[in-house]
Amino acid sequence: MSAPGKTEPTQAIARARTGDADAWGELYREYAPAIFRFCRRALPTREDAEDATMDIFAKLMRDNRLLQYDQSRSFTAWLYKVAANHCWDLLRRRKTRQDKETEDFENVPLEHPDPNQLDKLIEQRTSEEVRRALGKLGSRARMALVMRYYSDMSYDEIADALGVRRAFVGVVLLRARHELRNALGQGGALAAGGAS
Amino acid sequence: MTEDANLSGDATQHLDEMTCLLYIERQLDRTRAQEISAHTQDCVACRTLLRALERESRLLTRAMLEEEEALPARLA
Repeated sequence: MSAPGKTEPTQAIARARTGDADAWGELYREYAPAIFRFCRRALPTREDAEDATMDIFAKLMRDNRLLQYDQSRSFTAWLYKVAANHCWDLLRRRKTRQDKETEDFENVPLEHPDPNQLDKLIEQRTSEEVRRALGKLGSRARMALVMRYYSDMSYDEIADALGVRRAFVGVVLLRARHELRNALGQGGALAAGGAS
Repeated sequence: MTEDANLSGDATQHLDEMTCLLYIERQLDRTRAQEISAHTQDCVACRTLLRALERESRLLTRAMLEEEEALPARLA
């Protein structure tokens, strides 16, 4: 994964690793908007996203975490992983009532959807409605969907960030989709009977 | 929840949603993916479910990407 149309800022990274403040400024100007948007999707409020973006870059600089970056990989993908870890730590520390309610339903079998109803629901919903519904999800569900469908992270990366087994990532994503459908207000109408 | 698809050849015995999701996300091995592809040739319901899940993925990506907020002043 890499930001479309961007080449990796190899020289700026090399300079930033040596503590060059100008190079850090360059990296910040180039990547802070993408990291802010990631945090905006993953965290509940705009203020949370602003704070998180500042904290992520501050920690990167303070601890010179660029030394951990493998330059043969995508820099954008690595930054998204750092941002995902930061956001998830933050969300875990302040568990919301919504998260507790979600946990209560964690072991409830998911009902198999009626394919035609689901297809219809997806066709009728707008991006705006989906964004509003995402805001109503529990932290883990929202985080998983953002990592997969916003920043295109792999199942291995998602497992790593959430601290779950790789084999469990599909389950997390499927539960998140069900939660989203419920938040879209049509959950009850989708079940075809039976659990999967 | 099981990741095993029912692939007895009877198109009325449908794939479970987990298997469909792992299929569209290319998380299944080649043999399993080929079995599912073959099943959905004959099964309209499973084909419809796969299509709905793919559309759901695209809707999610579109919803998250299309509204690009400007960087707040204090971050600029």
